[in-house]
Amino acid sequence: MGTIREGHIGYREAVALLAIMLITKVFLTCPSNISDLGGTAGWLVVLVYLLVAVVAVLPGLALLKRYPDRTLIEVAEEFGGAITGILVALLLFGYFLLSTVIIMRQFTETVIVALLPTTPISLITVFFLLGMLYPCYQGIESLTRGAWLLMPFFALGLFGVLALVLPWANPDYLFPFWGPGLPAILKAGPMKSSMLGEILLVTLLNPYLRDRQKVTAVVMSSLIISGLIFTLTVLVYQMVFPYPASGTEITYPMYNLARLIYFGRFVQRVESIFIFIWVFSLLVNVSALFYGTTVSLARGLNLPFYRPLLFPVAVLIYSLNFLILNFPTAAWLDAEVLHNYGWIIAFGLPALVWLLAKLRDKGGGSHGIHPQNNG
Amino acid sequence: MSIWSKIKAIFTIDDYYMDETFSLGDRPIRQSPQEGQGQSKQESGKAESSKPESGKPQKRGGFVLPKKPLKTSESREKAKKQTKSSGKGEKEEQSHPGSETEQINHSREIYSNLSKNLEKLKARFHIPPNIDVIIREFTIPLEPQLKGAIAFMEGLASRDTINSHVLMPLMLLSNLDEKGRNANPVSIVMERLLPGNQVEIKDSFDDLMEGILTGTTMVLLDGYPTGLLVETKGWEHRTVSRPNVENVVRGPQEAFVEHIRVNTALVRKRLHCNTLVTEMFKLGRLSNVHCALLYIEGLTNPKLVAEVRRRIKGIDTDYISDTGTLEQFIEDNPASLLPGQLSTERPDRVAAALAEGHVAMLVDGDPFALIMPVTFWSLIHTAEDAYIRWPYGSLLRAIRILALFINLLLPSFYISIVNFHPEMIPTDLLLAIAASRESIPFPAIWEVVMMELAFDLIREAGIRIPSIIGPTLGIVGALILGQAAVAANIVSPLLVIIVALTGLGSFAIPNYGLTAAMRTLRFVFLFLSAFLGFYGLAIGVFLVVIHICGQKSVGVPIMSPVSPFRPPSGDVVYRQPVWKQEQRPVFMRPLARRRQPKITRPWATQLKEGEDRQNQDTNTGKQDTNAEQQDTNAEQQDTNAEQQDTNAEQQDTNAEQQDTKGGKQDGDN
Repeated sequence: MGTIREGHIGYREAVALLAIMLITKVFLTCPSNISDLGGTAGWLVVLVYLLVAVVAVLPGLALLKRYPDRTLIEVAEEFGGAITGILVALLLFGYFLLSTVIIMRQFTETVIVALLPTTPISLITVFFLLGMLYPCYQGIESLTRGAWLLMPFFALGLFGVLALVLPWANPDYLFPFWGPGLPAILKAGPMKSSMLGEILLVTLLNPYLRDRQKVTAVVMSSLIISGLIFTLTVLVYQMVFPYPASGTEITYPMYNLARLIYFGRFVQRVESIFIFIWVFSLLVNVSALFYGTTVSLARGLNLPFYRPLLFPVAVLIYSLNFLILNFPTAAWLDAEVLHNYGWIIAFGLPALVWLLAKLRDKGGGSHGIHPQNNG
Repeated sequence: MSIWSKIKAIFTIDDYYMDETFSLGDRPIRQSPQEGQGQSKQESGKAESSKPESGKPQKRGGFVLPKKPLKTSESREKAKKQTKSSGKGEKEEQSHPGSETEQINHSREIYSNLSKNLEKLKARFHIPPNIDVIIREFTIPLEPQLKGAIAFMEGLASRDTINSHVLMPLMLLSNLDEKGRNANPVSIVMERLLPGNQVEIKDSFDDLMEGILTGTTMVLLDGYPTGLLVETKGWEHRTVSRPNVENVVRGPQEAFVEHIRVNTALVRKRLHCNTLVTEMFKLGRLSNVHCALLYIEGLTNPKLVAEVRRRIKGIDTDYISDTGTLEQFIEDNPASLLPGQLSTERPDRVAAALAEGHVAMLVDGDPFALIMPVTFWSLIHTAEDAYIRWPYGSLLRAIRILALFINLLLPSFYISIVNFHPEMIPTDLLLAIAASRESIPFPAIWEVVMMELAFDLIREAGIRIPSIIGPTLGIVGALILGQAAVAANIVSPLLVIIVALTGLGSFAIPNYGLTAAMRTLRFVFLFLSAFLGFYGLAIGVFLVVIHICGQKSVGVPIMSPVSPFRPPSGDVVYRQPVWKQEQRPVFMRPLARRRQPKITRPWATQLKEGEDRQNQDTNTGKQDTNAEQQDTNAEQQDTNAEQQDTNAEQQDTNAEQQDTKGGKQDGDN
């Protein structure tokens, strides 16, 4: 396997990156979808799928702890042969590629609606591509550190919006408490756990963690932090916009929340300021996904570097971006495909590789040290 | 010239005037074999080979193939070794083999024959035409009489010292002494006749030359193949004066000067400890300037010292004269936006940095020191932050961060809002802006760029302007920027406020390198926001954040200890009270992490549990009593901080095991 060299990722930086990645969906249509699915109990759906994700991620974590110096692809190759390795790499590549493209298209459309109504989408996309190419050229170390540095601003922006719209919140909108009923919520949970599927990236970052033993803490912290913030957001959103409208009428929940802010004469119409937070978080998200796309391809092809692939893959993303017909298609792909079936790859693939490794690896790997760790 | 020929010349069409033009490039000038004495053989060889080509039209056309194969790093190393082993300026194989005298002149040997030596000296220093080296021959009235000569560099050596401490004893006082006649005259001269405080015997002619070049006086005796170097340095330099750039209200008011030994002394007088080490290097083949590397042995991470030493030693160039040039040779990433070193003119800042485990560099002739490694946060620190009480210090830093943001983003914000997001502005303000912009014929971006450029012009002119006509600049600037531009409806009054605030913001940033970076970025952001509004600006800011997070200064991430996160040392933006800053910054990986014991103010009444802790920890007891003395005089605490360090060092030996463990981890990382 190629030895792709990167720097070191500390615990906080890793959590910052993954948490921001997972929270980013808050800025797109996701809260609407959840609200549509769970009715007045949308926030309960989020809690349920958070729980499901926390459990579903366990086999993958076991794998990472067992082979701390290798990525998912390398483990798959070692125990399943070259074909399996390439297959796993391609699946990862496809998953990350699809996520990148869908999120990018949704976001660029949002920018047009919210900020730059007359600018052609291609220009917006090109600048967005620049914003994600540079961090990947710099490497994952810079990206995680940047994410950690921007974390306070995210927190400030997100909680700022949520706090400032509280005057419009009406707790009565949260009832009936169970929404469509407990069984429906429980049913929605597993499928929607795909919303947290991007945690899959950790299988590629694992070897670069400064403290590899902390991988469980990294994964769990990012899942729980982002899950709880998501819950809170949906909760506030549903308190401000009552159910049927919250599910069907509103395309960009966070943007609409921010538009509501009116705090005296001077703190109003601040949604443009929050654009900063949105752009930052989307860029972190897409850069990380893009990194995942390229690195899984590079590792699958046994390349010692991934940077030469960045530009070609960016071009690929750019073209795929425009294959999506329009914004509703992108939103539909996001809600109905990626967020319903994404778990198969996000949680299923690591679990499968874990099973494979468990069956094939008799005792040798229990210490996590292998002679050929970069062979 | 007769009058007829002059008239004839008017009607003659020829190229005679072409004869008078002078060009460096047209005809190769034959290099004399002695030229480029300080240069290595390869350098001069290169110069010769490239000379005939330069200026010729053939070069313009396309590729000019190098006649010699390109130097690989390996061959360069080799060549370097060669020049080193064969001594500076020595050329064994000249392009012209050279006569015998030439060979003599380029050997390292000192001859017994004085006149031969002097001849060689003259040849080496190109006397004549060079007049800077003064050679004085004389006779020492020993038994038997001895011929001698001294040589020194005019201006670098102190005339008085030479007259009274070299010439006088040798020429006048040497016949007073009767004892030790049979001894070797060299040792007599060395031990009895030269009362200078530094006298060295040298066997190599190159050492003697180097001594003369740095202001010492060479003494040669006829009949003996050795030379003496007497310390007589005494060139003119500025006296220590107030800092020009880094002024403070409270704290020491002295700055470095252009003399390296004065500068090292300025640092040393703040760190009276035997562990402060000054290493000297020579930089530049032609400039041969002294460069000092300062660190505290046993505190500064040896890996850091070794790396900086390696970088300094690796420099292979002809001319370095200041820290600004040196900085560019040794920085981690030349493409980085932020400076990789902290440049300061304050000895107290250098001393404080050394006590934290940094290394510092001084270059002779430059009144600035370089502190390495640097973090982004130290670029917005000033020395004063530590000298005033902590709440004010923290506030000052917060204001500076605000200044940074204002300086960087305010114009772009204005452009974005006016161009793309006018809905953000409350109605009344919007009307005011619209009214003020109504009569302006330019788009907002054009207006901003114009004003920013005007401001930068004034700033640049203000630096370069002769100080006599300085006050005029203020009038011109204020009139142009303030009154006239608004009155002429070229810019809106609001914009004047914004540009003024931006300018103030940039002046509040204490580091010149950081200001320059922000100034550059400001224009980039301006265009991004003029192009894409907040969206473009946000992407720009994000890229800059990612860029900065990837930068390192001698291996230390420049955003530490915030990102990557390290346990804070209480001295980042929020500044803890001095007595609470017990640990040195972790990212420096100092050998001794603790700078003072847990309890530094045992007398404090609110510290009742402190006594219990003190009793528990017998080790810290000693230090605490030391600390007590210091702390009784709370005002002196800052100046005593260094002493505390030395005290704390003993204690650190306890913690050292931990630290070495940490060091191992660092090695892994």
